[in-house]
Amino acid sequence: MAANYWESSQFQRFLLTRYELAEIESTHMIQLTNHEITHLKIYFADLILKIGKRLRTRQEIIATAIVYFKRFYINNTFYDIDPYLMAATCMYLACKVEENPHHIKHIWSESSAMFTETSPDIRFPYDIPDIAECESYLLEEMKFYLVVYHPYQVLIDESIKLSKPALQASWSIINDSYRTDMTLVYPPHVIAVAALFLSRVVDQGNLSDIEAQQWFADLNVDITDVLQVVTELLSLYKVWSEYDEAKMPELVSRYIADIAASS
Amino acid sequence: MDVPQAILGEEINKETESLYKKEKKLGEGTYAVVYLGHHIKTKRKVGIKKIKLGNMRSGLDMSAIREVKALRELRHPNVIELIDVFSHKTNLNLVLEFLDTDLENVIKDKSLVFMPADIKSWMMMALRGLDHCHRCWLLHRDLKPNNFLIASDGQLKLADFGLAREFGDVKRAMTSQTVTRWYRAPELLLGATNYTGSIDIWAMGCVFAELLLRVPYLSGESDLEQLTTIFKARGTPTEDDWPGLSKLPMGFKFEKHPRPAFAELFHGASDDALDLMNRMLTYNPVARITAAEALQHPYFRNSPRPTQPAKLPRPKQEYVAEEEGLDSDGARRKRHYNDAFGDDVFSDGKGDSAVAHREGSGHSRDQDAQPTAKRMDLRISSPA
Ligand SMILES: Nc1ncnc2c1ncn2[C@@H]1O[C@H](COP(=O)(O)OP(=O)(O)O)[C@@H](O)[C@H]1O
Repeated sequence: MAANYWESSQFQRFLLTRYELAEIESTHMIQLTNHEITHLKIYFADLILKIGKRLRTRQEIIATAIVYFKRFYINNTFYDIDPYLMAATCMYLACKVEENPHHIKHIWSESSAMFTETSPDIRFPYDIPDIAECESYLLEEMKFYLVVYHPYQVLIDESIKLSKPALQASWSIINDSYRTDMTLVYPPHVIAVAALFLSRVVDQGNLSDIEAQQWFADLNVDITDVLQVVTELLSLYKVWSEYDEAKMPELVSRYIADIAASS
Repeated sequence: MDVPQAILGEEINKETESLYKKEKKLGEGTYAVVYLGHHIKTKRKVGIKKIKLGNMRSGLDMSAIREVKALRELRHPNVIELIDVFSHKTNLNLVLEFLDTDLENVIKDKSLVFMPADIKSWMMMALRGLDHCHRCWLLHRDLKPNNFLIASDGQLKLADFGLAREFGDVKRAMTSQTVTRWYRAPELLLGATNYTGSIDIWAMGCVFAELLLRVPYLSGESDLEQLTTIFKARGTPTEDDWPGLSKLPMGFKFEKHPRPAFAELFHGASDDALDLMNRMLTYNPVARITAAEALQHPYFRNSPRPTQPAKLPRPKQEYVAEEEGLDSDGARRKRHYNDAFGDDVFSDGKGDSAVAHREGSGHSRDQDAQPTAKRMDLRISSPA
């Protein structure tokens, strides 16, 4: 909403460096392997996505909810507030912020139904007021900065210059990017360019080389950042192939029990 | 037993809260009570807008969400500054820069004489603030004289973003039930759900006229009558004036009123002022001038030069000095002044219960459960 991304709270307040992020992970997630950490990120992004699908919300709203979830757990652990409750709450708040409000009861029932459907091992013993209360912790943690920018908008703005398959491929790569924390580290246009770059690898020839070169040149982004994002996406795909959702509820419980024991 | 680590957000929140001291009630809006306060260390005066959350059961309501969301991103000398935000029990508190009066008070104070340069100055500041919002893709959707607040140095600031929302995506319908009636653009009255910054410009045009006339320009008695009022004052639009008019949800035939000569009503106004006003009150929203264009209009370059903000006329009665009963004049103002509970430091929480009681909602008191204790329940159940 700010006149441009550089004036937004997202850039001025929430952008972390990769080192800061690594630091956070090494303090919070000491008991987990790198693979497990990635799997947890995939898991909660997926759960939020599933709630969003049930509510039939737009992809950007789902992305906003995922960013809220990540922002909350920068300074808090899963032991402080149950991540399943937080996932439902993030969706609730994101829908309101993006002018697409759903009744809190509806969010609650869709979320509980989705958790039950996903695994019998997920416990969701919360009631509607818990979501409202959880929302206040989320708002406070984010210091009430609510606007989130997404790479999707960059694609939409540039869409006339892109072929339909290139657009679709980039769009789904951007969806995947929310399964990592890169949204906390890189500006949206860097992620958009990286997604487009990767989509070119996947779907060669739809954008002529000259067009592509021009496009990348016009966007004027830092190529090292773009390549870093591409690398992170590729490693996501690798770890993702070993991901098994069925094992996740147990991992979440074990992880929380570990934090509880060590605090 | 493990002692839960306090949630960081909560700590920050308490810290923010303790920076300010609340003094007395300044006014009451549709969804908030505003208090005078100050920053304890710097002594900076602030307005603390406490948003009433009728009940906590559905969290922050849409007006509050819109207001914080907008003010957290906007930053401009002609937009009210949001200094801090904190929640107290079940209330949300916005710490705003303190502004002593508003344009409505100025217009209504008949002891004040407006020079053309004064009106130009207010219009320029208002348009600059609005231009900033529109550049940020934000519609205000409730512009009217009492939402232009005025600082002690005379700067005018857009305030009250409870209806503000982003625009730009044509595919997404928005409600046409927005903007206080007298300032509502004709396309809204005709049920348009795709609109742009031009609805704010119409409202600005009405405010411009009101500054010239010293009374509201288009004061319809009901929504339906509002259109008739507009048509009588500005002439009934034709498909030529406004291509696409007949396709609007309620764009049916209206009684034809001729376009009157405006110069008579606005005698004393210069031609450039009238030209700008007419461009702001153009029927066709697409042809209506934008805030950025309006700022380039010759009106702002021609003499007289706009008055310096500090030298603008000010009402003798400002918010703090006003007493109950002063504004008994009708539905436009819903303010209640009250300084019944003198000093009230936030952290002791007494003031809040008093308010909860007065508002007749015992509700918020039931919700006073200690956040830390409650939070325990929000943790994941330990593995079986
Ligand atoms: N920043 C401020 N400084 C001083 N007084 C304010 C401030 N903001 C609001 N007020 C006072 O509180 C009243 C209610 O504010 P608000 O809820 O924003 O207005 P409304 O809902 O009536 O448009 C205002 O009419 C004004 O008297």
